[in-house]
Amino acid sequence: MSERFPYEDLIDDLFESLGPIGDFWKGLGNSGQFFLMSALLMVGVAGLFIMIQQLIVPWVERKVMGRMQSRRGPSYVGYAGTLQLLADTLKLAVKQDIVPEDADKFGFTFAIAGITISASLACAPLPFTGRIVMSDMSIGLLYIFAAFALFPPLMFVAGWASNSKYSLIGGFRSCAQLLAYELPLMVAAVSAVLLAGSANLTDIVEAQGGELGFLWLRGWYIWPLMIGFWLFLISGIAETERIPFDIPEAEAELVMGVRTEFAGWRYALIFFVEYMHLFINLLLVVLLFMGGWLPFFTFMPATLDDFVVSGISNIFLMAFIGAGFFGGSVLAVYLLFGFFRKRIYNMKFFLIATISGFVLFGGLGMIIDDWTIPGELLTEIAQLTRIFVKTYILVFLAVWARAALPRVRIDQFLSIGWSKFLPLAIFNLLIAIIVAGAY
Amino acid sequence: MTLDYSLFFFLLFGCLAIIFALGTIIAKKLMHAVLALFLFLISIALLFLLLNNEYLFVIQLTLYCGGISVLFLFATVLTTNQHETADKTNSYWSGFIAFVFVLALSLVVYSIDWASDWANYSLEKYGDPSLFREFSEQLFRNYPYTVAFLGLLLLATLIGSSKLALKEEAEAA
Amino acid sequence: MTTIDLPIILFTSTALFGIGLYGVLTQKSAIRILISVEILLNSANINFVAFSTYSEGYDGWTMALFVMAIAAAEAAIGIAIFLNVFRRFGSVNVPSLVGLREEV
Repeated sequence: MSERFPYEDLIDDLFESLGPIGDFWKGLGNSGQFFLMSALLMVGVAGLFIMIQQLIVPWVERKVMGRMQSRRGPSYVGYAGTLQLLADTLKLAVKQDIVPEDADKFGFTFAIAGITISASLACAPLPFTGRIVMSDMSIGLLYIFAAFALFPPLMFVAGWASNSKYSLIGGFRSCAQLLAYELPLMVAAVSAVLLAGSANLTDIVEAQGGELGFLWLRGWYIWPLMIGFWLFLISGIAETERIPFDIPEAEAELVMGVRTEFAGWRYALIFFVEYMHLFINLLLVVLLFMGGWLPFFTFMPATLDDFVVSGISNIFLMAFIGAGFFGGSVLAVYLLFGFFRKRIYNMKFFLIATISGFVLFGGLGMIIDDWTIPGELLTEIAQLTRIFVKTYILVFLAVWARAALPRVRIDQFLSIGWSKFLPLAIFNLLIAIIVAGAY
Repeated sequence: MTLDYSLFFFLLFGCLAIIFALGTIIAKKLMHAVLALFLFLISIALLFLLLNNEYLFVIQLTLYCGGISVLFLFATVLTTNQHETADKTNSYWSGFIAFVFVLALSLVVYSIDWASDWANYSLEKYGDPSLFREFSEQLFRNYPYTVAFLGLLLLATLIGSSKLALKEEAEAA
Repeated sequence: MTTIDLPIILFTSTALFGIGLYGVLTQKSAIRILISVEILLNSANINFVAFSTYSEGYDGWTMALFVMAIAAAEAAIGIAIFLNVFRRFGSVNVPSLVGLREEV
């Protein structure tokens, strides 16, 4: 009874006060309550993790693209424009919710809701480290593809329901492109599943931990499945309809494609889903082919031991923690007030706070004698750092492609997808079969 | 029979499936019928999930909701004209036939003593990671020729349907 | 563990089958008929999956998989035919497709 979920007494009391809902809660029984609570927790944590990325990825994209085009990118709201996207979202949220008069009201709302829901559902089985995984299901990879497989019909419905020729053509193109690149994407992913012998994402990452037998490299699937890696990366970016492949929303031809008639909050949702899709696809590349949270070389340990701090290192560690804590608080205040366009960035104040934190906590470190940092925590932090560094390298690659490459034509792109990518993906699967047979 | 969560969700999605299936018949616009079909297919996928088959759940979502409903959407937009209506023919007699059929099937279901014949069932494999692997192994061990035949059939369908759809355009050009 | 009784599943699929049957018999538009056929196939699939799960075998699941593949093939071919029909007759309403030969 005591191991159901955290704060169970509190939640039981809460439901007790709700009358009929409380009865339903009791009727669910222990397993049902656990199921519901873990579902809620899963949605909350996954949503938080992905939503934070949704604020970072577009900022990185705009900054990098700005640099590539000799601009400065967003620089006004927050420190170095970090909160620009939050401001944009807020602006879109308070705008008037316009539904075109001739639009199909049901389809117009249904499509947006469906796209958002299916993209959010796809976050559930994503592991960020060996431990931080919301739903460790046995068919996690296939589940993500199933959630994204709902996109083509929904995009088409969004285009049709807008009752505008640009939207409809955009819907047709979007649908055709998504279907054409879903197959190479899946076949390339199946090759990794074949080598790992499991469709569970954690298992796939753990299976890449062995030695390659060459230059102390780990056996990431990028080495045997180089073709699959590039196929997955390109198809993954193609699925998100970003600039080299943004045929469905080609501005010069179709205004904004499917997005033309969407305004306010609906537009913000479509925008978020696009970045969510990009981030999840790139994270999948990291998990399937680039070893997820595993380090690059075999001589770098995958798990860290307990770290005992004592004597002089104790003082310095505490000092750095204090400096980070104080300086971070000041930076957070800067970010917060920068959002309201009060330019209070004062380097002097930041320095004073940091140094005082350094001195204060350093003094505290002299008093504390012996201190152990658990190895599990360090491992967790190292794994998170690795996976996000890898993912943001790929994000940089995608942004680079967006800034540097011109748009392809729809007929060229579809024929590449069906007649080049799909055979290549099957060839890659054959390689995977041979490699799996050899080991 | 207690109302635990799996039964609750089964009843919920079962009722939703029936409502959406009715929606495909009632809907005035053909597009709305296709949207109802889309939702119907999703509820069926959820029923599969509640019946312990995660694998079929995924296949249903990918193949049916992602693939076949796109076909229907395209066909709807490409073949609809102003004359398209939700008119029905022979609805009285057909309704009677369907009702009698459902009644007969329900009587059959009702008359069988499920408790004694199917008493030894258990659904304890829920979420078992080995299920997926075991199912795939059984699939290729017991039905290898059928799987190969299905692959050939789907390839023939791909070629045949694209030829069929493109034939008239080639003649016109 | 679970308390979904078999009759409940069977009644659900029977109701869905009835709806699909009614649709196939009454609809005029060929696409609507095809939609109803999909409902029929899905209601049959529920039974396959249910019996297979309850008897702890894999045959029913396999059969459901095959039904899905066949349904995909059937829908693709059917819709390709309807596109041709629409080009020739200007409508996919089944009662209007009376001429076996094209009347010019």
